[in-house]
Amino acid sequence: MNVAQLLKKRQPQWRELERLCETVSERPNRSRTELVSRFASLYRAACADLALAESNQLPPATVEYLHQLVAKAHNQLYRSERYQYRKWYRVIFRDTPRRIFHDPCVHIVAVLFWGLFLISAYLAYDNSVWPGFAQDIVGQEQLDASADMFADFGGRDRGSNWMMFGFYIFNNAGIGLNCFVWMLFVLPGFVTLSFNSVYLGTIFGYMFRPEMGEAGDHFKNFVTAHGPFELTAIALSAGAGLKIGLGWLMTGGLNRLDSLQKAGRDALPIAMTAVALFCLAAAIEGLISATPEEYMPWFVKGIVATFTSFLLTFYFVVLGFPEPGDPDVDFLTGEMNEA
Amino acid sequence: MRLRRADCEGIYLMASVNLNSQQKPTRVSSLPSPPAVASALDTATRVMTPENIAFEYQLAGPFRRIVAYVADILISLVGFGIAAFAVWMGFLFLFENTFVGDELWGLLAFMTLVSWFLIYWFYGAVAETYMNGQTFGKKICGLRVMTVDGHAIDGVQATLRNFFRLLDMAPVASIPTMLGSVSDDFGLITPTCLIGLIAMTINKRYQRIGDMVAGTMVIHEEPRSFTKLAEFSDPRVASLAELIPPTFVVSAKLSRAISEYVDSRAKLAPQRANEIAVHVAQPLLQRFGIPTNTDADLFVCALYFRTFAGQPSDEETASEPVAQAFPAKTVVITAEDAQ
Repeated sequence: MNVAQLLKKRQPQWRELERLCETVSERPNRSRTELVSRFASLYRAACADLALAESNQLPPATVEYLHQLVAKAHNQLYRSERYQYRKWYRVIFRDTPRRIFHDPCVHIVAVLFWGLFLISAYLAYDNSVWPGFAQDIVGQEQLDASADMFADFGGRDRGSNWMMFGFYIFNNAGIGLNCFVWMLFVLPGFVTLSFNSVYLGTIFGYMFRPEMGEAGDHFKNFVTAHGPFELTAIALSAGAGLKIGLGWLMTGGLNRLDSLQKAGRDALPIAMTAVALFCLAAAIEGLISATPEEYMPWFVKGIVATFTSFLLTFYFVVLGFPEPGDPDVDFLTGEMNEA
Repeated sequence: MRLRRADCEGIYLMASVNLNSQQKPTRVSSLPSPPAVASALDTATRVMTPENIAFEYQLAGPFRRIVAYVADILISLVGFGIAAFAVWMGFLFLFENTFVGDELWGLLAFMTLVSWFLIYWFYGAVAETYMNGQTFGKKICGLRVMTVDGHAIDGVQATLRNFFRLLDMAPVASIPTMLGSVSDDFGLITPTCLIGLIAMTINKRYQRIGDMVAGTMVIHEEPRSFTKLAEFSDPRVASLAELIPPTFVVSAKLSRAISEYVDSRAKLAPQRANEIAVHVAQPLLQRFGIPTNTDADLFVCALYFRTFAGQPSDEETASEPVAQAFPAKTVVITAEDAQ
């Protein structure tokens, strides 16, 4: 058989495979069984044609066509693995808290973030240790701007409050995401994290000063309820980022790129916990923080904050605490040694 | 991929050198590996399938991908705008009298911002997971995300690579400042994508940082149609083909070269075509004892005709086992069947 005859014989099947690729891609899960098995056998035949193309001396244009046809069919046959919901319960309530509890990256970042936050909050609140700290760090203009902003908050205009809160979600989740991705280069990530923690801490300390009056009350009213979730989320996302950043620096014997990919996979649950916390914080922000003092006194928001802190502790410590018989955890790398 | 003229000449030269040095060109029966130089220059990547055959993907470069990304942004903006408008209108009609006007707008604005936040960060991840590695923009541009070994991506990879887009699009630049304005107000800020571009240039697969972390690459699915064998109206081609001795076996390299030549000869000036064809024609004419003043172009066409459409050779062809292994039932699948 010469090439012309071969092509004449095979071309109807290639054309059929091409047609089937389109039908299958339109409704991947609802294709009929015989259609799928026909597709599979046509695909295998095309594979064999491609494999034998060289020894059959097919012209290069036909070989290119076959490459493309096989690639197209391959992408329809081997489809993306979807999210596996059945595994999620175990991942969310067992694996992730344990990972976070053990992860040295999260510990380092959490200590740094909360440490800087509390120190700068104290320095900004108590003006005697470092007089003018708040002005030095944030600048008078910014301080005045936030004071002005919160001075107007209250029962008068809930509508515009809500809109502001929506904006804050973008802003704060943006801080978290920036910390997460910049941590890939480690140093810029630490700079972003430290800057934001000092900045936020200073604003907190400044607004809590007794002389702030109305604005201070409104500020307290606003930040208390969702604070625990939101700030923890920032620390967690930075921790996840640091894990990825160290992934390509400390390879643990793997190829650098493989190690980076492995770290990415390991860090994703931590990052997703942060995303979930940002979303929960947004919900609290919209439903509770936005409610003015007249309808919901400050202590109620305090109770919410206590409750959310308790939830966080329960998740990270109680669910995360290793059980006897758990695999050992390498302190330095956070690896679970499955021995 | 069409070869440029210089390349063609190179191939013909190689083929003719081959003819002179090797008296009996043998057929290549095993799968050939791609020539090292071509694979280093081409933007193709080779993938091994579970069917144990190798085929090539065309990698997608940054400029194709940025178009897909812009299309994605536009699509999600328009889709989101329409959905938000519908919800806003619905709310207005439902709760016309229940809420104070301002509050309603505030709550809606809050919800809109939160859902835009979710769409902004998860549209790509969810779309790539559920649409087999494609977002709507990628579908329009014919792009697809795959793992580096050519398989379909999973949800974790889709999520990771979309998170890291923030880093790939960094650093941001202010357009007024770039245009020379000196002011504290930075005005319109735009991402420059420099980090992503640099990452793409330093690896073979055009991976941005998100792709490296997730272990993915973006390929371009070129639609290519089947090209028929060339047919010759000139009766001299067939008669000249009969003069070629039946014992002469065309090597794989030579058959590739003449096929490339015949496919592109329509675009060449007759003199130029002859100039190229003479490299193959001259030594062969001498060997077959055909007068050497025969038109070189005509002779190569005759060789093409004989190789691809001429007399079937006696040896057993490799296509037969394929046809037996995957018998093609004569099933005609129509559009109705597929539904």
